[in-house]
Amino acid sequence: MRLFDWIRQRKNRKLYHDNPETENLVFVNETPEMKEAFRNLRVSLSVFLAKNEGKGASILCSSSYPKEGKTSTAINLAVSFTSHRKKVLLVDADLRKGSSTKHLGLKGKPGLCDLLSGNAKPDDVLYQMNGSNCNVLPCGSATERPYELLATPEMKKLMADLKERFDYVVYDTPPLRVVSDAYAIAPLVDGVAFVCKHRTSHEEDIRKSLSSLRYFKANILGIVVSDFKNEKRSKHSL
Amino acid sequence: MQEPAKHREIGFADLFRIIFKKFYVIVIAVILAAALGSTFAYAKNNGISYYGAKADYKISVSSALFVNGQQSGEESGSNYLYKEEHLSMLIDDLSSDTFIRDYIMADLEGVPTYNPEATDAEADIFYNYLLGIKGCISYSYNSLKNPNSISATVRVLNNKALAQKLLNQIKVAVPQYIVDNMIKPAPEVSFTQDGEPTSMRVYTTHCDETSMSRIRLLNGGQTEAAMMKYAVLAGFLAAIVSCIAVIVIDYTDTRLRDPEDFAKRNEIRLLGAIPEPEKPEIPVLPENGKEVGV
Repeated sequence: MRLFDWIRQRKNRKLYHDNPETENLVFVNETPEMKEAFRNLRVSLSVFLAKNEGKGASILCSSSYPKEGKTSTAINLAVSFTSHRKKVLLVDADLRKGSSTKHLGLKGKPGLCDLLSGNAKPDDVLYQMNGSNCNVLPCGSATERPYELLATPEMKKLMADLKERFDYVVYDTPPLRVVSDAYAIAPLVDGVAFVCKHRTSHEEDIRKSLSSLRYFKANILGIVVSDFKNEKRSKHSL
Repeated sequence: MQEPAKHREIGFADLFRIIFKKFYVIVIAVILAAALGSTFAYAKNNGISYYGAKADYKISVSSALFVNGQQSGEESGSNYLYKEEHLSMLIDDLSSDTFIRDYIMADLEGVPTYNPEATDAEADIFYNYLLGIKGCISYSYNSLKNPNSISATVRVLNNKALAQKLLNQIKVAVPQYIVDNMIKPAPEVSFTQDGEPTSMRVYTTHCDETSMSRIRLLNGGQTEAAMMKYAVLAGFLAAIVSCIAVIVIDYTDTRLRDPEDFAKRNEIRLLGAIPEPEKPEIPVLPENGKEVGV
């Protein structure tokens, strides 16, 4: 079984590094079921997030491996949070692939990387997502040292600053068992929503990722299951 | 302190559920295995025809009384019963190389004849024939059912003519050999008071053919029967193996299948389950270029 695990891990790493295709996204407005699912997720997160008075809350979305639905979840969750006229920011903290940035058509625009490197000002790197009030901070220019950038005091300061300005800040990060970038910011967010894909993610990988997050003293809010295939799913839509 | 994850338990209901869930896999495995089994049986048995026949012989002993050197005319059958060892010895004799060589092959057309001065190569060819013919003839007896009878069976692969020739040879050679060589009671002599022989009872062995079938195809329909047998066996094995495989694969499958159960076992919250999109599409978004600043 260890050999199979090793092969699977190698395959998933290769997927992350070599595959230019990104996962399919379905926006909350696409189907009533999705809308309802993200509404429920939003409510759950609101309940479990310890929100300080006058300050926003930050949530980190990550998964064990690529293509498990973290970008889709992060974008849709951010959009879902805007429904109550809340100020929401989606931060693409995946400085290697920038999946959210690509999906939102912001590739090539200055973003987080430029901000942390001192090459851009905060005013230049925030964009508004079309069709919603959600703001986006793209990943920006490519960097060879993403972990180091995310682990800088500037990043810590930026995160605190963003929490002051937005009601919800959602971070989309690289997969945990492929690269370690997410661990740099995981202890700094209010909570981690760990995304795993139904009938695809391996329980052992989820356990290991959660264990690593606990080791880095991240506040794990819980797991979000993407692509959930409910055999007893009701045909009624809300 | 994180507690170790609890392992899944598996019960009979789970086994049936798993098997039912993957029933199509089992059905496909059974069909494939049955097809393979029958194909194997067809390949193994096709073109193999055994021709042969069976001959039954009754062995009896009669006696004739001679008085003063003249046969009294009285000849009667005896109640002499052969023991199993007698029949066993007879069959050993009939199966011996000597019998095959001298009684069967001696008059058989189309086979080499025995030549004591033959070269090694010729002798090898002769003995190969001898062994082949020996393998085509078998004998049997049932001393409990009838201690005075034996059966000879000819069984030749793909050669009906040779089967017929061997049967003809057996028909002549076996009774002749039995009459000449089968054990029988010793003559009984009566004497006067003076010690002069007065009468003598002499025993004679007889061998009568009681039944003989004609040369026929012995394994007619055997291919179909073997195909059916192998198909059933392979299908049954495939059903068992696939059931075990399905259960093992299911049990060793560590993918997330029941999020609620996983969350419960690992003591973590299940925040939400996003349903599988029916038609996943990459959204076409208008360019997000509007800078809003902070």
